[in-house]
Parts: sequence; structure tokens; C-alpha cells
Amino acid sequence: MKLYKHSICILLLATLAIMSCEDKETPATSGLVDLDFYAVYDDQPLVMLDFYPYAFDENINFGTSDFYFSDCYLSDNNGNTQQLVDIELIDFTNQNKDLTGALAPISVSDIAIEPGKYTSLTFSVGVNEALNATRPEEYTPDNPLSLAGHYWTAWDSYIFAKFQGQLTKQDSADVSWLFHTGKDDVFRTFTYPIDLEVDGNESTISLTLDHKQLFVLESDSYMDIRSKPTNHNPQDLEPLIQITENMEHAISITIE
Amino acid sequence: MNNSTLYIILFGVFILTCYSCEEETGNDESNDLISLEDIEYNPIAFEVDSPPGYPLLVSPDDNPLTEDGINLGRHLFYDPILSVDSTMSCASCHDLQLSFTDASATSIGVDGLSGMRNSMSLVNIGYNYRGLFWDGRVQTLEEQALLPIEDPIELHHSWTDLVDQLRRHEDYPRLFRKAFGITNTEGITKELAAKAIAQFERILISGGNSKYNKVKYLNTDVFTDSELHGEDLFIDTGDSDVIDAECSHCHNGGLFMGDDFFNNGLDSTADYTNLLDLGRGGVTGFDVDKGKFKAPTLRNITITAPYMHDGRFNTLDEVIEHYNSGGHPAPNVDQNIKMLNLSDYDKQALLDFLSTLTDTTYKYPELVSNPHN
Ligand code: HEC
Ligand code: HEC
Repeated sequence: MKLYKHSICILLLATLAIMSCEDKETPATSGLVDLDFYAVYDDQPLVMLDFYPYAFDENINFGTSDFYFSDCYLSDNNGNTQQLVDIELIDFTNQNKDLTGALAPISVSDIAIEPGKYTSLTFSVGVNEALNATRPEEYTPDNPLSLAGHYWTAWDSYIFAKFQGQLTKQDSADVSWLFHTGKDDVFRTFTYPIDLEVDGNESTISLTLDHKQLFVLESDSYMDIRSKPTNHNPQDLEPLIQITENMEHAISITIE
Repeated sequence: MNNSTLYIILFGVFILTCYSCEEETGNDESNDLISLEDIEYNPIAFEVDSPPGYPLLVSPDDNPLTEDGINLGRHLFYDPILSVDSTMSCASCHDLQLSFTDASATSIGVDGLSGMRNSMSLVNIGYNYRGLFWDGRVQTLEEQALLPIEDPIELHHSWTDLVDQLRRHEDYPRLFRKAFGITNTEGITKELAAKAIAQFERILISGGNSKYNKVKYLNTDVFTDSELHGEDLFIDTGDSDVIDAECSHCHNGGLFMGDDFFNNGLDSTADYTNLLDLGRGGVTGFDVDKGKFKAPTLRNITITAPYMHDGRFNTLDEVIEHYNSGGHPAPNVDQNIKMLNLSDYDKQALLDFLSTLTDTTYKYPELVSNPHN
């Protein structure tokens, strides 16, 4: 009996020793990537409820800013891809509550990826058609798709993004504005050229959303939010598509 | 590996073995120790069947639902032993007849003191994953259940004394053994008591027999015109003829509940300094959170008066009037709080719709009532 116990003990130790040797021998070529998200307004960190100059002599603030970031992957020139993120809710409302929070990123950390030379980054804003046919009650609470507050029953769609705040011409806020996007027609996928070599290093891909650029119009003018300050209407998707498409250029990407 | 390493390891194993033996024979210093190993421990998993449209019910990995766990929790929840003078239990402020609320604006504890907050319904509480209490200061039912016992405005007992009482009690050692397999009375702890209460709370699930459920899921009933109009007001359908009352922005999903904290315009404030209750801001310390509260479930709302975190509104008419008025200004009032211009017909319709959410039945009726009666 005694001998038996000892042999088990020794066997266990040996296994451990072998395992740790194996670890050391693994070639250190795969890498880790962090995705860091920042919210700014015209290059200033965006702090919830702080006012920033908008067009039309208006000042604007944000009380809510979040969006689903999904199907994010890296590609190389040979068509190989590396999945980074399935789906996350990027929630600046709860991150950018003060300047300290605004300066710190929302981080999706330590994503393991194969070594390679990646030349593009692709992601979508919103919930893809297949997932958008599901409902929050199908998910466990740790899944971002379980958030009932991001599902709009009357649309049969997830709310892809929420941007809300106030507009003022004097010191006091006098108009509330709100854009909630959603429905399959509003789902958009963007691809950005990048230069990322993964060779065992840790890299950080920073995505910075300039909230002023959400409202830019093609002619470099800005949306007159005051004249139509609210939209969460599936029958009137135009402004919601505009804002979603604007996100492509409103998001800038840097790699370290 | 050389010999000396082997000896060190063998020595380690020896010490460990001795140590574990000591634990098994128990601690002789405690005179009151009573072995419970003769009592059968045969945990039977309890599978929950949620009503349609509800979220998934998820228990923490270290506290799965069992029949005996729920039974122990039920006994504790209703037992005045929980309070310092054995006069009050959880049920004193969470009354089954009132959808587990207490009908007072702010609850009164064992010493006759009242706090600033209105008791909250515990029906369907297991589906709350985004913070408990009006300010979300606690995450799990296990953590929450520890708090009322020692709170001076609630049960004002001490856990040390209560655990002692439970260990000496004629029933509880057996109930704890059956629920958690403890080997002796020393195994009774506040953590296990809290786990059992949490298990009991997780099965306080509506029966799924509200008019709303009958119309939406069972197809055994239809909405009246007024209820239908109320639903249109509540859940904006995009129909431009009907006012969008914006309610479902904050009270959503199968439980008509929020998964975040909002300021719904109850108090005027310019800089939050005049607020009596900072709500979420009292927990996070951020200005932007001050005056924000959890948007509670509207299931059973007709039987949980008075309303809001401080019970300021006695009737749902007052609540609807509040929303209709656009509320009071504060920097962080949500954009969905605005003057609605509801007609009398609209207001009645909203009320009628809210009434369809009432369900006095329970999924497990035989398990929810006071077992001490
Ligand atoms: C004196 C009255 C009183 C007693 C006794 C009491 N509660 Fe409560 N309960 C309240 C009040 C008031 C609140 C809201 C408090 C707050 O938000 O700070 C509350 C909130 C809760 C919540 C949070 C509900 C939600 O929707 O977030 C749970 C869970 C709860 N109580 C369970 C219990 C349990 C379990 C016991 C017994 C161990 C208990 N309560 C005893 C008054 C009471
Ligand atoms: C901006 C989010 C928001 C909107 C929009 C909103 N509510 Fe609320 N509701 C809340 C919050 C937050 C509370 C709790 C506030 C408090 O107690 O301080 C609440 C509380 C309530 C309560 C009282 C709940 C209780 O248990 O005491 C009722 C009833 C209610 N809301 C109904 C409605 C109706 C009807 C509408 C639409 C006319 C509506 N709400 C719109 C956020 C909202």
C-alpha cells in the first residue's frame, strides 16, 4: 500500500516535470493581441455628460454610447484569417464616466493568434443576420447577447448601437437626442489595411471612436440633430445607416 | 531525481496524511460537536422550468439547486430566528401575498427603525444578473442573503449568534446535513445558510399564467382594445399614430426589467448635492451615476405598491402621471424621459397593459409558502 502511494507520487512528479519541459520547448512564435477601445470627441477624451462644441454653434454631450463589435479578424495576403473577437458590447457609457476612465481603454485582452504578417483588420458593427435571428433569453448572462436592454422586441432585432445625449446652445441642455440603430439592413462590416507582424510578441491594436465623426455628412458638414433629435424607428433607417456607415471613418486604428 | 528529493516528497506526503486524518476525527476542543453522518445525504438536483420568454436561470457553479437546499432556504427565509429578538424574518418585508414586498414606503426593521428604501419584489429574482438592490451594490443572491441579518434597520442580529442558534437547533442540523452534506454541526456556517436562502429565492418564479403570458405564449386569451393600445404605448411599434411612451427602453425582456441603472427624473437637481439618496452614484462614486436606480421588473406591479426606491408613489396612476409629465430635470436624466402628452384614454390603456403582467401563481406553488405554519 505504502509503495503504491509512493509510486503514484513519483509518477505525478515525473509527469509534471515532463510537462514543464515540454512548455519550454514549444517554439515561442504565436502571439498575443490586445484590442483596446477608446472614445474621443474631436481628439479629446470623451467624458460622459461633458459638453463639446458641435456644428451650428451647438454644444453636445453623450450620456450613452455603446455598440456591438463583432466578427473581428485579421487577414494576411494569402487569405489566411485569425479570429479575434466573436462579439462584444463596447460600452463607453460605463467606462468613460470621468476623465480617468476615458483615458483608460476598454480592453479585450490576450487573444492568442498564430504567427504571421497580417495586412488587414475586419470587423462589423452590430449583430450579424444569423445571431440577430436569436433572442437574449437564449443566452447565459455572461454572453453580451443576453442583454435584454439591447434587444428591441418591436423590431425583432438587437439594438446594434446606442448613442444618446443632449444638445445646448446656452449653458443649459435644452434638447435631448437619441439614436438607437438596429435591423439587418443597418449591419455593416469594415476592413482596414494594417501592418501587424506576429512573432511571439504582444501587440496592441487600438481602436479610437471619434464621436463627432458619427454625425458627419458627405459634404463634410454635420447632421442637424436638433431638427430631428430622435431616431429608433425601423421605418426610417436613413439616419441610422448614416451613423453606422460613419463609424468606418470615425474609428481610427493604431498598432503598437 | 536523487534520493534526498524523494525523501522530502515522502515526508511531505506523510505530513499531509497526518493533517487530513486530524481533520476527519474532528476538533475535540468543541464540546457541542454533534456528528450528523447518520443522516442520509442524497442531494437531488432541482431542474427549473422557466416560463416562456424568460431569460435562462443560471446558478453559480458552487451552489447548484437541490431539493434539500431549497427546502433549507425556505425554512430559513421564513424563520424569525433570523432576527435578534426572534420576531422578524425575511418574509416580514418580503410577503408572499404581496409578491414578496411589504406595502410600506420604506421598510421598518426589528428595532422599529426604517431605512430610506422600499422593499423589492423577490418574484423572479433569480433572473437578476446585473446587480441587486435599488443601487446594484451586490451581485449575487448568495452575497445579498448575508446582509439583512446584521443590518441595524433590518434584522439586527449577529451571524455568530445566529450560527450558534442554528447549530443547537433541533431541526436545522439535519436540514443542513441533507442540503450540503456537512458531517457535524460545526459545518453550519453563515455561507451555507446564505447559499440555501439563495437557492430558495431562485425558485420564486411566476407561474406563467399572467394575462400577458396567456395572450403572448399560451394563445388562450386576447388583449382588450385598451390593453392592446397600452402595449403599443409601452413597446413602441413604430406606429406613428400612437405616442411612444418609451417605457420598454428601460423595462424590457420577458421580465420587463432593466439591465442597467437610470435616472427616470424623480428629483430636480443641478449638481446632485440635494439628492437624499444617491442610488447607483453612492456605490460607484461617479457624478454621472447619482440619482440613477435599477429599473425593476414590472411583473406583478399591480400588487407591489407603493412604488419607486423610496415608495413615493402610492398608485400606478401616480407613476404614469410622473412619466407623462416628463419628470424633473437633472443632468443625467435619461433621454427617454420626456413629456408624453398622454390622453386619459392613453393613461388608462397603459394601466390596463401593466395589469396584464400580474400573476399570483407560482411555478412551484408547493415550495414557496411558509413551511413553519
Ligand atoms: C426590514 C425589512 C427587510 C427585511 C427583514 C429583509 N429585506 Fe430584503 N429588502 C428590503 C429592502 C428595503 C430592500 C431594498 C434595499 C436597498 O435597495 O438598499 C430589499 C432588497 C432585497 C433584495 C434585492 C432585490 C432586487 O430586486 O434587487 C433581495 C434579494 C432581498 N432583499 C432578500 C432578502 C432576504 C433573503 C432577507 C432575509 C435574510 C431579507 N431580504 C430581509 C427589506 C427587507
Ligand atoms: C429611462 C428609463 C426608464 C423609462 C423610460 C421608464 N422607466 Fe419606469 N423605472 C425606471 C427606473 C430607474 C425606476 C426606479 C426608479 C427609482 O425608484 O428611483 C423605474 C420605476 C418604475 C416603476 C415602479 C417600480 C417599482 O417596483 O416601484 C413603474 C411602475 C414604472 N417604472 C413604469 C414605467 C412605465 C409605465 C414607463 C413608460 C411610461 C416607464 N416606467 C419608463 C426607469 C425607466
